[in-house]
Order: sequence, then structure tokens, then C-alpha cells
Amino acid sequence: MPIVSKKIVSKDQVKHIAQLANIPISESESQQLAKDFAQTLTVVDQLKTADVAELAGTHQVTGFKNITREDIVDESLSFTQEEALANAREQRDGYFLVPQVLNSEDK
Amino acid sequence: MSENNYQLVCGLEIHAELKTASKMFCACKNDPFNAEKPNIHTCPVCLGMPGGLPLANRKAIDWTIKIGLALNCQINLFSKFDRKNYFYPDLPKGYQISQYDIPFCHDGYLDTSQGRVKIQRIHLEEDTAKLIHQKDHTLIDFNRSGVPLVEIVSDIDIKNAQQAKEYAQKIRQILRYLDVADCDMERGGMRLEANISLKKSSDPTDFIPNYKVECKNINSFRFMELAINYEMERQAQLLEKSETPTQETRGFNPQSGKTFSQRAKEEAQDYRYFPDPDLPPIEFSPADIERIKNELVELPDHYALRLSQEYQLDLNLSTRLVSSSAEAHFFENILILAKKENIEAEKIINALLNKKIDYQLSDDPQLLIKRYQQLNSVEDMSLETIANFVTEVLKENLDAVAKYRAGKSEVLAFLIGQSMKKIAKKVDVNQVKKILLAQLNS
Amino acid sequence: MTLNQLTLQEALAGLKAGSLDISDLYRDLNDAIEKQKSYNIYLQLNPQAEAEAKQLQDRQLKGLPIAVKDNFCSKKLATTAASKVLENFIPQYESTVTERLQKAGGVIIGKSNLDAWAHGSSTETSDFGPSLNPRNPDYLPGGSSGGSAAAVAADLCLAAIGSETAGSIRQPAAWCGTVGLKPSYGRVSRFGVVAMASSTDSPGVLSKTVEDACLVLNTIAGPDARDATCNQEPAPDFTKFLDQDIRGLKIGLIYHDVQGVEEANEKLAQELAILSQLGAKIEKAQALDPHNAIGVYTVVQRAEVSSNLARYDGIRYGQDRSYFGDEAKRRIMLGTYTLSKGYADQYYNLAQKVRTQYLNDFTQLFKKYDVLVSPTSPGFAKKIGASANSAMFGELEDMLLEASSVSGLPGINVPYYRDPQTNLFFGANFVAPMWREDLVIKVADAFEKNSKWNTWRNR
Repeated sequence: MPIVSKKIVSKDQVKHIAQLANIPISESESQQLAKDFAQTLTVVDQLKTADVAELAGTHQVTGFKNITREDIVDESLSFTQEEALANAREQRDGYFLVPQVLNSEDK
Repeated sequence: MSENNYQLVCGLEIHAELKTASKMFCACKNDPFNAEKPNIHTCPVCLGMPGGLPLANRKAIDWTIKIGLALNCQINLFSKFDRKNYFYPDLPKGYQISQYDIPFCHDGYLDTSQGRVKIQRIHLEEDTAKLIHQKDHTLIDFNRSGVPLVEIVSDIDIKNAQQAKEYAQKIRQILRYLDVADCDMERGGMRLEANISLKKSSDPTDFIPNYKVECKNINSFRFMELAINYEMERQAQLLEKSETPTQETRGFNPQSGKTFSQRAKEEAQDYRYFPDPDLPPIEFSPADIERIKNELVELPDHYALRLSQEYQLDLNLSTRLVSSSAEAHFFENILILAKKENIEAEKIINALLNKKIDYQLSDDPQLLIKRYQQLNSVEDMSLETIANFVTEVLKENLDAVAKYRAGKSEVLAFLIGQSMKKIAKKVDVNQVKKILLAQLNS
Repeated sequence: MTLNQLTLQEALAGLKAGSLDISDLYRDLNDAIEKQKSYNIYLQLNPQAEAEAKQLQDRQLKGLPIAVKDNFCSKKLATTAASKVLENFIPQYESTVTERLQKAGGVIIGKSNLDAWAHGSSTETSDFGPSLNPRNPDYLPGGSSGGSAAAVAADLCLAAIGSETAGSIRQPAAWCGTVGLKPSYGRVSRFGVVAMASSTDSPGVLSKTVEDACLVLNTIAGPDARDATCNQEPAPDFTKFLDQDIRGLKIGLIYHDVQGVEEANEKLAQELAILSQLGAKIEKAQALDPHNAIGVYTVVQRAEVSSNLARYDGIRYGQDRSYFGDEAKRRIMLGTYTLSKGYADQYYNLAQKVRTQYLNDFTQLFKKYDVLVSPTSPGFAKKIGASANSAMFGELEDMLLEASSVSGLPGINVPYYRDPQTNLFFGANFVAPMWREDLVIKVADAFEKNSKWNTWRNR
């Protein structure tokens, strides 16, 4: 197994990723996660020794193509409003309810 | 004014919901605007429940290709869906299924009266849920979640607000011709976004400014026009002061007619696109594309040109006939019949457009032709009958008759008018005049 | 012997012949479940199980009790994926697997424990505590389908449903001394299974014998219009690959020179003599070094996890994202990192290319061999607590399975050695080309029936 240099991940990097991943983490967690990341990435960096420049990536292994459905309404899987809301944290008048936010298109 | 020293650099992103029967990746009903209640058209897939898996709607894919062909695009014979990852309460899976590096269509164009606007790409994705903002909280309705949505991205070829408006209107017109989208702007079935910046008029044609202002969520063509004009003025003023306008997202306030800052873009979003492992790729054969091409209806520009050539109409006039596919077909039917009846195309069209003949698109063209003929043909009325009407008019207007006989020949026009009124039918006015003169002079 | 110790096939035969009463079986089973409570195998039991069973006597599986890993959605029971985020979540829909299983007359006896979100190879990352290995409670059952493997090993069910992304069926089967069948990716629908890594997740079976695995697989495999990656070709009757002649079959022994696997490899080489005696040709084969597969799997799996777990925002169901455990946080964030701007090429895109390299390597190997075999796990089950100190515990334990998993291949674990001191097992992993479950079943069945290591066949 070729030796790959040990990876270093900064706390700030971890915090940035946590933000992207929408994961709330504490100061001490970010420290531990930086260490865990470094450990994992050191193993993963092994990949950089593979000679694969000529190869295309494989995203799916079945080789299937054009698996689509006809444009037909089938409500056998559909929920009633009550079912849709059955596990909601908060609801009002048939809607899910969250604290005030902007439109995502306006973001 | 300072704006004159600057040239607009503008591209449009247009989102339109497709009117398929079912949603994009599940079999739920696609009918968010007419749903009786919120959250009644949902399932594990469009509500983002654990284990829900997407299945692509074939019709939505074919329609996207159709739109691409109508907008002169190249079609990628191999394509796929990708996940666009970001968090928002209206996005139930935490990612939107969209297309990243291989959209279905690319490199097309649309001609406007002010020149060609190139189309960079057209891709297919799923719409998000609808957010309803209240005082202290936001309500979410997932009926819209997963509705098929096409995004049409133009190049930065748009030179002024007028052209932006024409381009967007033409896109809507074409989508409606293809019968793939209702494009209800007020309800959000079609949404406009303009990327606006300015360069100096002296800059080379391929110069691209180093900033970009995005005006999002504009729900009318007129507001877009106003927003672009406002931005041109605002940005020109900043540039005159040697300031670079901030790269940001701005909204448009219809009340004030001004744009306002919504959010500064600190750094470009990181959507972490990757191919959706749940959806096998889509491949077309050239024959598939040919088949879809053959299904294309005649589009408005071509339609107008053909009518103008076939019926010797002015192109501006024939363009007015094709604003919708229903109108185009209606007028063409009229023109076909008119030709048979030797009616001059321009005359009957003007009679209709000027409302001389009242009509509805559902009217039988044959009947309208008849009405036109009645209005214009001389009534087959015997000279004796006409003479009787004229005699009556003269009896009722002894004053005028006296004046005429006293040499005031100008009352003749009045008497002709009265006679025509009495007859109440379309008869040859010269004939009436002849009879009238005969009786007056007898 | 108690009736819960019967194999699925034996119980079916007994019920058919009228020599077995379903109530007696459930009585013994419930007693056993009660006795083994401290093993923390089930997160939730089905209180209606016996009543349901009585209604299903005319069906294929005759109401026999099947354990279901708690990442399969089912309407009647909560589905938690062993995470606090989904604690008390009761889906309004049924996974294809549980729907088919129940339609075929199987009864969900309970929802079995797993590593939270199926992230791990120990069940120690379960938010509801680890399960213990019934073969020796000082040891881990493996994972992520650890609860299902333990339920089979402890006779707390007649067979179990599990899911595997890279090792999650076969590795716990190996550690618990049971059979574990991971079908080809796409053979069994993923609809209604809490997604982990969508491009490799494969539902499958943990069972007492190879035959039992076939009986259960028959009820759940096949086309499903709700999963676009599911094979639309009808699945074969898997029991017809049992009791077959394996003469002339070419078997390649891979990973025979990997460091740290010496003991498992030595014992495997000895035991494979059974297959030679049956007429198969066994040869050492050279497969691509499995170490890079760890990287491929780690990157691809975490990237897909980061996206698949994005839906858990606590708005429509479940708790918010602060409820994720440490392991899930680590995986989500690492996946986010490997997909992020500036890193996607170094990690995600590179890993998918190396994945192609493994696929190509298998294509070459299968030109020479019908089936490949190696130890399932580098060693015996690890002690309770072992996973705590390594962010890469599972990846290293599953090292010998990752290459075939990221390639989508079918594989099966069968026990091939028992350590008399610890009562722990080694398991062999037979692997065949895509869609060729027939080959792994054929070889594993022949091996099981001619070796002395299957607990139920040799009691």
C-alpha cells in the first residue's frame, strides 16, 4: 500500500461544511470532527494513486436507460390531507407550518 | 443622460410549469392551482418521505424536447437528471431533481424584432412547494411540489427592456402554441428572472461586465420592463461615479416602480450537483427526435409569414392574426373561405379586427363570411320599391324640398341620408340619388 | 429443541403436513424473545403477530415469523432506522418488500435493530443501544443488519429481512454464523427503504439455511414500477438452483494474500476442499487490491448519504437535524465535503472512476471464473465497544465486500468455521456476475449441505 501523507482538516473548514450540510455542531464537536475527517481522508486519499485518468465514472451499475412512467394520475400512493400531515411537527388549516422564511426564489 | 453612454447586458431565465396530468416524478395529480385544499396532491415521493423514489414522467421529457426544437435548439441524445442540493422548507428532499451538465436542449435561438436572442440551454426539473407568508410564520402547501418545470436560459443578448419583454412574450406564445404550458403569470405558472448589468457603449461586443444583478420572481412582462429600465438608470448612475454595482439579488416593487436589494451574494452557492442515482439516464435516437419534430405544430412566426404570402397580407397585419394558435386557425379558415368567395383578404380581416363584424373564435367562419357579404353587397331591391321610399321621405321633409327647389342644392345630401335610413338596407347609393333627383326635378 | 429453532423450510413442511401447530410455534418463539430481551435485538415487536399468522395459513409463507430491519417502512409499526430523528415515526405507506412479504403470508414479528441509518458494521451506532451477538454476548453482531442476523442466530424468527450497501447483510451474517444473501443491486425494490447509498442499497435476506434464503427471496424479488433502478425482468424461482451439480464450475479464490486476513484465508482454503470433492475447480485468482475499494465506497456512500439524509428537517415528520447521532453527522458532513466546490473532482468524481476500475476487473475475472470466493470478514466478530475508536471501523471490517458491492454484484455468506473457544464464526462470501444469483446459490447450497458448519443442518 503506497504511503499517502496525513491529511489535515481545519476547524473552520469543518464549520463551513457543517453550514452547507445544515448540521448544527458545537465548538468541541468541530474539533473532534476535524480529527475524524483527517483520519477518513487519509484513507480516502489512497485513491489518488489509482491510474484511472482514462476511465469514465460509474454512477449506476445496472446499465438501465429510459426507465420512465406514462403521464397517468395514479392516486393509489397518494395521501389524504390528514395522512400527509399525520407526522407534521406543526400544522395549521391543512398546511405545514414553519417559522417565517423568504421565498426560495427570492433567496 | 448618463444611460446613453452605456449598453444593457441582459439575459433572461424563464421558468414554466408544464401542464402534464401527473407530476414530474410521481403519479400525483398536477393541478396545484385548482386544488380544493392544500396538501391533497401528495405522496411519499413528492413529500420527501423516507424511501420515496422518483420515476420520470415521459411526457414531460418529450415536451421539453419539443420546446427545444421549437426554439431551434440542439438536443442531447444522452441526458440525465442530477441532484441540486440545498436546504429550504419548500424543498422536501433537501435537493431538487434538475439537470446540471447535460440539459435536454442547448444552443438554440429566438428571433425578435430587434434581433436574435440565443438560447443557452433548456432543462427539466421539479417545482418546489408553495410558501404562504403570514405575519409570524410561513405555511407550506406541497400540492405544487414535484410539478414539472422547464427552465429556459437565454444568452446575454438582450439589448433593451423592450426586447426583453418581446422575447419573454414570444416564449410564452410558443409554449402555448405547443400546448405544453398555461404560463399563468399571476399564479406563478411562469416566472421571469433577469440578469442585468451594463457596459460602456465603447466596450467591445464580447465584453462581459464583472458584476451581475439578478432581478427575481417578476410576475408580469410590464414589471420586467420597468425593472430593467429602473436598473439601467440606477446602475448607470453608480458607474458614472466609478462605482461597481453590488452583485446581488433584487426584487421589484410595483408600487414604487423601483427594485430593491434582497440579498447580497457573498459567494456563489455550492449546490453539490451529482447524478441522481435513483434515475437511470435518458437516451434518444435520432429517430425519436425526428418523431417529436414531426409532431410540432406550425409556430407563430412561420404562420404569420405564410398567411402574409398566401393571402397578400401585410406582415404586420398577419402577425396580429396569430397571437394564439386558436386565433391563427380561426383567421386562416376565414381567409380560405374568403378566397373562394373572391373577397379581398385585407378587407374582411380589417372588418373583423375593427369589429365591423362582431365575432367570437367559436363562430362558424361560413356564417361570418355571409355577414360580411350582407354588409357589403348591394341589396337586390326593385327600383319601384326604392322610389316609394324616396317619395315618402320627400313628403316628410317638405321644408327641405322647398329649399332645394329654391336653389339650395346642399340639402340633397341630407335627403339622400334620410332615404338611406328609411330604406334601412344596403342599396346602391347612386341609384337612390338618381331617383331622388328625378322626383325633385319632376 | 424448541419449535422456534426450526428452519423456515422445516416449519413450512410441518404446517403443510399438519404435524406442526402455528400457535405452538409462536408460543416457543415468544418465550425465546422474552428470554433474550437483554440482547436488544428488536426495537419493536408486533403485538398482532400470532393473530395475523392464523389468518395466513393458506399463503406461501403460512404466517411464519420474519424479522424486518427497522429501515423498511411499514404502516403498522414505527420505522426509526434506529435514529432518534425518526423515533415514533409511523409511515402512511408500506415498503415494496414488506408489502410483498406480507402478501406472501409472512408475518413481521418485529423491527430489528441496526446501526443508525444503517451507517456502520456493529449496531453500536444505533441510537437505541447495540445488539449483542447471540453466539457470544461479549461480542458485536456486526452490522448494519446486526439485529436481523442476531434474530436469526438466536432463533427469534425463522428468517429475516436486511439491507446491504457494502457488507450490511453478509458481514453480520458472518459474525453471527448465519446465511446472508445480498442479491444483485436492482433485484429487489428499494421503494420504502430508508435510503442510505442509493446506488448500492440492496434489500436481501438473513436466514438459517441457503434454502430458507431462497424461499424468502422468492417472495420479495422482481420488478417494481415504483423503483426505476429495479430490474424489470421477472425474477427466477430461486429454489430451483438448490441441490445442483457443481461439477466443472470454476471458482476463483480472491483476496488470499491480503494482510490481516491470514487466519480466515487459511481456514477457508482448507474448507473449500469440499467443493473440489464435489467436482468444482478451485484456483487462486488475482483481483484488484481491495484497499482502494474502501476509498471508493467511503466517498460514494458518504456523498449519497449527505444528499439522502437532507430530507430530515423535522418539518413534515421526525425531529430536526440536531437529533442526528455522531456517526450520521460525520458521514453527512464528509459527503458534503467530497461533493463541494473544489473537492468534487478530487474525491467524488475520482471515486466513481476507480469504481469503474473495479467493475472492469470483475468483468475480466468472470471471463475465467463462474464464481469468486473470499472470507466475508477479515476476522471474527469484534468485542462490544470496538467501533468507538475508529471513524472507519465499518469500512475496514467490510474491506473484502466493498469492491463487489460498489459493482452491484450478488453475494452470499455461508459459515465455514466455528472457533470452539469463543463460539464465533468465519463466513465465506461467494460472488457472481450481475443478475447471476443462481451461481452463488448453487455453490453456497452445495457447500452448506456438505460441510459441518451450519448450526441448523448439523444440530
